[in-house]
This record gives sequence, C-alpha cells and structure tokens, in this order.
Amino acid sequence: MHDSFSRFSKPHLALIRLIGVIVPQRLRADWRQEWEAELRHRETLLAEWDKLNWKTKLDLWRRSFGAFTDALWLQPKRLEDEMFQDLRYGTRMLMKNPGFTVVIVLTLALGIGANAALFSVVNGVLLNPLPYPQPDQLITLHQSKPNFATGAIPYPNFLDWKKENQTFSAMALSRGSSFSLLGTGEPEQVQGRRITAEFFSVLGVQPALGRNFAPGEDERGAGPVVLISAELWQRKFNASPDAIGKSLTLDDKSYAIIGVLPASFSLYRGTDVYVPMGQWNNPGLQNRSAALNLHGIGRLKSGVTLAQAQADLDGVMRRLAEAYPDANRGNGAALVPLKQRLVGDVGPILWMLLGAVGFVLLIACVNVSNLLLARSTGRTREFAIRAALGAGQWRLLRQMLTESLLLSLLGGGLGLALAAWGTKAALAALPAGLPRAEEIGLDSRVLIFTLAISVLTGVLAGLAPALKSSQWRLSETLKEGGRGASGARHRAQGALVAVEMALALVLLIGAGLMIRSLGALWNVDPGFQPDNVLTFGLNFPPSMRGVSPEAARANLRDLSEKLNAIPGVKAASFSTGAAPLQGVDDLYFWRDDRPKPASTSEMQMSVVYRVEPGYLTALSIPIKQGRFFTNQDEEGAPSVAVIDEAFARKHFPGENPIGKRINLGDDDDPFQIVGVVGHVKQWSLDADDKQSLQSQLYLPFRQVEGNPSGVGVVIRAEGISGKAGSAIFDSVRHAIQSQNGQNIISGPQTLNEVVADSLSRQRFSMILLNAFAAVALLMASIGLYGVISYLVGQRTHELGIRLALGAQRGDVLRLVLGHGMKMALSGVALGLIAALALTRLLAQMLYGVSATDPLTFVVIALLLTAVALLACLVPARRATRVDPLVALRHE
Amino acid sequence: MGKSFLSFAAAVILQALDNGYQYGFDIMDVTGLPSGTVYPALRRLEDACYVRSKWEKHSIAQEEARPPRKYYELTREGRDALAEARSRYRLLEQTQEPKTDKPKTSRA
Repeated sequence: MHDSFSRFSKPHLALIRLIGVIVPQRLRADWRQEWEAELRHRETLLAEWDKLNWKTKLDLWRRSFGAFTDALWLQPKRLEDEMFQDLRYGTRMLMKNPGFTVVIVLTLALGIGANAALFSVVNGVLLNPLPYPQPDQLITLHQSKPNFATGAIPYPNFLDWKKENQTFSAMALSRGSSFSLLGTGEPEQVQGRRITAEFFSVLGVQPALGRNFAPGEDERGAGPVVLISAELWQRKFNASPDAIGKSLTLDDKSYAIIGVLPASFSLYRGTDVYVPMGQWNNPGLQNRSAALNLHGIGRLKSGVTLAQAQADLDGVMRRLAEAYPDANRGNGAALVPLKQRLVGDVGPILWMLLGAVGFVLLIACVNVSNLLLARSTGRTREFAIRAALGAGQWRLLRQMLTESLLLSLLGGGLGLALAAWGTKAALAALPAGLPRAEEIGLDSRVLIFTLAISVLTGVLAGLAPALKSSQWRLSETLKEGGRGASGARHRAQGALVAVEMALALVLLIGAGLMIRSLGALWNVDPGFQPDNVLTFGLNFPPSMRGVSPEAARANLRDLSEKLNAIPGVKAASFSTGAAPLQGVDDLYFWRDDRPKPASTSEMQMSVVYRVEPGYLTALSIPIKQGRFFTNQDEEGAPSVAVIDEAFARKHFPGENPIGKRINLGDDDDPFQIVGVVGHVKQWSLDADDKQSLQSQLYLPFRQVEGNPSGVGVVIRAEGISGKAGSAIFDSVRHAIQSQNGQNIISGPQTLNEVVADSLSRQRFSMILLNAFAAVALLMASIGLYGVISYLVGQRTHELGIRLALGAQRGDVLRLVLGHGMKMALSGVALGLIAALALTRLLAQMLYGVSATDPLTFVVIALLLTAVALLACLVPARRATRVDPLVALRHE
Repeated sequence: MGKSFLSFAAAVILQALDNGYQYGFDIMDVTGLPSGTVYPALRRLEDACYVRSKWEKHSIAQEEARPPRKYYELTREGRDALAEARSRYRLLEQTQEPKTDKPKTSRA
C-alpha cells in the first residue's frame, strides 16, 4: 500500500518502471533496481534540503528521462535474447526451403513494391508541401466572371487589388507567352512568361545565378532584361556562368540575361524565359475589361486565413464595381490555394488507385498466409515436439510471426527497390500530365510507409498460420503421425481463398468499369473527324511585324494557297482563337436587332474560332444550314459569321438565324450569320456539356485577322502525321520554310493525338487499375491452384481408398472440382457484394457506364469463375490419376 | 574493444571513477554530463572491461530504506586506458577534483 502510494507520488519511479519494459528481459530486473536505487538515494539526500525546490525535482525528472537513452542503448543486447533465437531459427527454416522462400518474398515484393510506388506518387503529388517557403500562404488569384470561375485579372484591377488589399504581404501577376528565340542556333519557339517584378519573391524563389528583376525594370521604357530557366542555360550556354549579361533575342528584341533560375524550380514546366510584364507594349494593360490571360499569385500575411483574404478582396472588388461598373459589374475575386490549383482534381483518382493497389497487397497477404498455413501443416511434428519440450503457446506463435515478419521485411526491401525503379519507369512511360510529377521520389515518408506496410503485411500474413500452429493439441498431433489433416485448417484455407477471390473480383470489376468508360469516351462523337488531320503552331518572324496589313494579308493568303495546293492535301486552314480540346478563346457579342447593352458585362458570350474556308473540310464538321465561308469572304467584303447549333438554340430559339446580324463587343460593325454548323466538343470529351459556355462562333480569318504573330494550322490529308519523314508533312514544312526561312513550326500533332492526350488521365488510371487487376487475378488463381493442389496431395490416401472401393474417375474429378468451386463461388458472391458497395467510389471517374453496370459485373464474375475452374482443373485431373495401390501404400 | 575508441566523455568518466566517484548519479554531478551520456558510456566501458560493477552491501541500503545501489570501479585495463587518455587529453585531470566528503555526493 505504502509502496504503491509512493510510486504514485513519485512519477519518476513510475517512469523507470515504464521504460524498463523495453529493456531486454535478461537485464531488466538489474536495470530497474540500479535506476530505482539511484533515484531513491538522491531523494533521501534531497530530503535533508529543500524538498520543494522545483529545480531539484526537475533534475530528478531529467535524470529519469536519461534512463530512456540507457534503455535504448541496451537494445542490441536483445540479440542474445529469445527473440533473436527465434530469428536465427526462422532464418534457418527459410533457408532450408529456398524455393518456398523465394516465391513468398517475390509475391510480397510485388505487393509491397506496388504500394510503395503508388504511395510515393500520392506523397509527392498530394501530401508533400510545395517546395517553396511557407507554401500554405501561397494563393493563386483570379477574377471570377459569368462563364469562368477563375478568369483572368485585368491589369488595372490587379494594381488596385495590390494597393487596396490588407491581407496579402505581396502579390504578383504572370501570363504565359511564347517567343521566337533567334540568334542562338536554329530559330525556335520557346515558352515564356511575362511576370511582374515581385513574382519570384512572392514564391520565395531566388535565382541560382544572377539576380531577380528590380522594381524599376518592370516598367515601360526600362532596358529589356530576362531571367532564363536552368534548362535553357544548360542547352544554350552550356551552364557557363558568363551567360549573365549576355543577350538573348526574343521576337524582335534583344534582352540582357540577368539571372538563371534554379533547376529545381518547376512551377511552369517547359517555360524557358521570364520577362517583365511592365515592358509589354500591349494597350490591353490599360483596359479594365481586357482579358489578357493574366493570373495572379499572392502570399498571405502570416496568420491570415483564406476566408479573411477572400472577404478582403471581395470588398476591393465591390468598390471597383462601383467605380467602374461597365467593366467590373458581375465580376468577383477568386482565390485558390496554389497547391489546390496545381494538383487539381487528380486527388480522388490517386486515392482510388492507392486503395486498389492496397487490395493487391491484401491478396498477396492472403496468398502468403495460405502458403504458410500449408507449410505449417508439414511442420506439425516440429511444433508438437517443441511444445512437448516445454515451449509455451506464445513462444510458438512468436516463432511463426518472426518468420512471417522476416519474409515480409525481405519482400519490403525488394519491393522498395522495385518501387524506386518502377515509379521512374512508369512516370516516363505514361505521359499522363500528372501534376508535380517531378517532385515524386522516395523520401522518409515513403520509407516509413513501406516499413509500416511490410510489418503489417508480415503480421497479417502470419497471423492465421501462427494461431493455428500454436493451438494444436499436442497429444492428437503426435498421434496423427505428422500428417496433420485437421479439418479446421482446411476450412481456414478455404476461407482465405474465398477472400482472395472476392478481392480479385472487386479489382477486376473496377478495371472492367474503367475499360468500358474509356471505350465510351473513345466513342464520343467530338463533332469533328480527327483521323488524318495534322495540327501545329506557326510563328512568323519578327521582321513580319513591321509590314503593312495589306502585305501581311497577301503573304498569309499566298502561304494558305501553297498549303492547299500540296498534292494529297484535302484542305488546310489557318486558325486563331479557340481550338477544340486545346485552347479556349471567347468574345462578347449582342444581337443587332436588340438594343446595345450598357456594358460588356451585360453582353452575351461565345467561344470564337477565326478560321479560313478550308477549316470545315479539314475537321469534317457537318454544315447544318446555310453555307460556310468561301474565298469571297475577304477583307472588304460584307462581314459574315457562322454559328454552331448550340449558339442557334441559345440565342435564336425558334427563329431562323440565317440572315440575322450580331455585333462583337463594343464595335458597331455587324456580322451577318450565313450558316449553322454542328457543335464540336470544345472543352473535353467527357464534360463538355457541363460547361456553361456552349455557344460557338466562327469568323472569317481574312476579315478579322490583320497581321498575327502566329497562327494555328490544321491540314487534312490521307496518312498525314507530324513526324519528320512523313512525305506530306515534309512538303508542308518545305512550303512554309520556302516562304520565309525564319517561320517556326511548333508542336506538330495529329488530331487523334490531341484527342488521346485529352483522355490521358483516364487512360493513366485505366492502365494502372488493369495492371493491378491482372496481378490480382494471377495471384488469386495461383492461390486457388496452390490450395487445391495441396489438398489433393493431402487427400491422396483418401482418394486412393475411394477409387479402390469403386469410385469412378469422374466422381473424383467432381469431388475435387466441387471443393474448389465452392471456395471460388463463395468468393465471387462475396466479391460481388463488396464491389456493389465499393465501385460507388469510382462513379465520379466513370463516363457512359454506371458504377453498378450489370453487364460488367456478370461478365467479370463469369471470367473469374472460368479462371478458377481452370486453376482447379489441373490438380483435379491429377487426383483422378491417383493409383489406388500406390496411394494405399503411401501410408 | 579497441583502446583507441575512448572518447573524451568516456575518458572523463574513467577519470571520475579514478577520483573515487562510484555511482552513475555521482559521476553526472561531478562531470556535468547528462544521464543519457553517462549510463550508455558506463555500459560500453563495462563491455570493454575497463569498468566492473558490483552491488552495494545490503546492510547499507537497508539503513536508508532503499534498494542497494550498483557501483562501478576501474579495472586494470581501465587504469591503463585512463593513463593513455590522460596523455592524449592534457586537461583531463584538471576537469574535476578528487572526491572529498561533500554532502552533495554519496557517502558510499
């Protein structure tokens, strides 16, 4: 009583008892006594002094915590402990049966490796913070508009946001732009960004070499300066430090290089040059309703929440809407955390895949469990003898668990190596546009995860066999003579196989649904014919900028005629503005027969394509009414426009749109509608109808484009491809280069490739899910095969008696098959129920197929049953060939 | 058990033992080293046979109504190692004073 009270009142003594638990058992009593004696002695001394002195009490505490280090240091002494004996014994047992060990380790390596690989993806993309200081403070800024939740911010608005907000420590604006890079070897098109001076300091990124922009450089009239990517620095300057101060010719201007960004900076993959926004000679920068694709990034002041920042900018926007109602009414501020903006909606897909790969590991676990169970039967005698010699139940259980842990850790180590190699290979092979892909790798979190699942796998896989082996009744087992054919063990195996089948079925159904869904997407009519169409970007040299609009037009017409005249080319067209599945452009318009709205924000909106007459043929878009553009719809001819069916439905319901006129933006120069064409999937194959902006408007390129710096080109020709060596593409290139050697072709791609790219994410998840399902199917069938083979082996004696007593071979076959199929079918039934519940999680990722699609469920269940039948058939046939004489002599 | 592995902390502990401090806590007091350093070092030194440990006489402990303490002393190898360490760490001897009977340390 007194003792327990004193321990209660002296927590440091309790602590010593607690820490003592981890001290190897052999040393524990000694260890506890030494520490307790020291502390008690110290107390007695203290009693003579001031007992209430907190400093001395603290000192006692500190000392008792030191016991923890001491206890940790004693851990290696465990090697001489029982546990180590188990380990040595286990290793010997595993070495004795190398084939068995290799199969198990490989199975586990596959399961754990796949999980480690996928977790490293989840970790890199979703869990890891962005590689910037205080990344949670980084918020992307946009202006919300009627059709765009995260639209561009007009520059004057941004300047007001920056000035009037209270919640951001800094804000910057940027915009993607492409430039012709001249003067350093072959002219090429490089991706660039115009940024405001604070851009990199908001992110907290320092140039690896040189310096950032100074505020004065972000203004009109300042000397042109440029920051370049580490990649360009390597490619063009061989990573030489002298690059600083050298000049780079972008379009028609020479820029001095002032800095090189660190190689680790990957916010804009493939972007090579950064120039100051303020030097941009674009009148749109002064316009409050110009959408120049400017998007912002801001850093919150510390302690400020997203909601506070949102409220703050809402206030700023309200004031702006009052001050400039024409441009700002109906617009708001949209704030999206940078990480969310980058990662987008890839989260659910990755979590789903991680769940799926977890199923693969579970199946591997069950397989290994079954193998261990089968083998433990063979070791019945060994355990019985150990028990007879005095080994307790716990000791035998521990022996089995030690062995399975040893196996799973070996598998985990190998799996990690597989994952390290496999993740790299998979990311290289699947150009799936996975965000933050460059940040994926093995870090401490992945290592801890792998270790944790390895241990968990070891325990899970070892538990059933361990419990079974430790519970054998000694006398019975010894009597049985080591054959150990207790029915309970077979039931356990049967249950495990059923679980395995169920897990495999769930994965297979998931994979089947994804295949059906992707198939449905491929069959979606995009509204155009993507076969045999090539598309690429064409940029004209800076020398063309200075020429008169007339000369530019003549030039373009000349080139267009050359392209259309190439033998084999059915149609070719320049296009600017939107391009289906690639880029969106929009404009405001109003019906000429209605009063002009007071401001643009009250006008209607449409996607706009500025194209030549050949466009409709090139994309094979059907004409529904009226006509498309002809070569007569030239500069100077009456302005005409063509609309799509969605446009007609929305803006001319119940009317004939042909002959009606519309005005674009603020211009009072009406375009007459001359035709209606089919709707094309502009946004994406799967979610086009979910976008609010459906109307599509075609304008004649030659009436609305003066002297563009670049255009898109679409060409339809039999057998065309974007690879060098394709005869037609070579003629196309030749035609373009012969007109001007400095014309730049960028990103040649067939429209089929464009369509495929737009489905890359769905394809990525389908491929992975299928791979997992295939592995699952393989493992489950091997598991079933293994168990049935094992059972047939065990029952040879019994089958021999049956045959000797007159059973027919067919009876034996039915007996064994029946046994196997009972397991398989109960697994299938279980799996169907689980799948019904689980595929609901997939619903968001499916297109054109329901998450409980009966066809998929039935077909996959039949497939799995067939595979199970095959897996049982081989051992069942072996059973029928049992020779009764041999079997009976077997005893 | 190479003799060259004697760290400064270990040398300081040997020096303390040589000066007559026999218990882990006393060594902490005189060397100022934390318990997380002193104990593992003592275990290592014991493994290396520089130090051996014994339990205090029961009668002494009983007198104070506490469990008997474990005390440590230098072995011959320990003395040799300390001599070698002294030649290496010149200031070793000046780091602490030999034990006199102060109330702060044990009465052994």
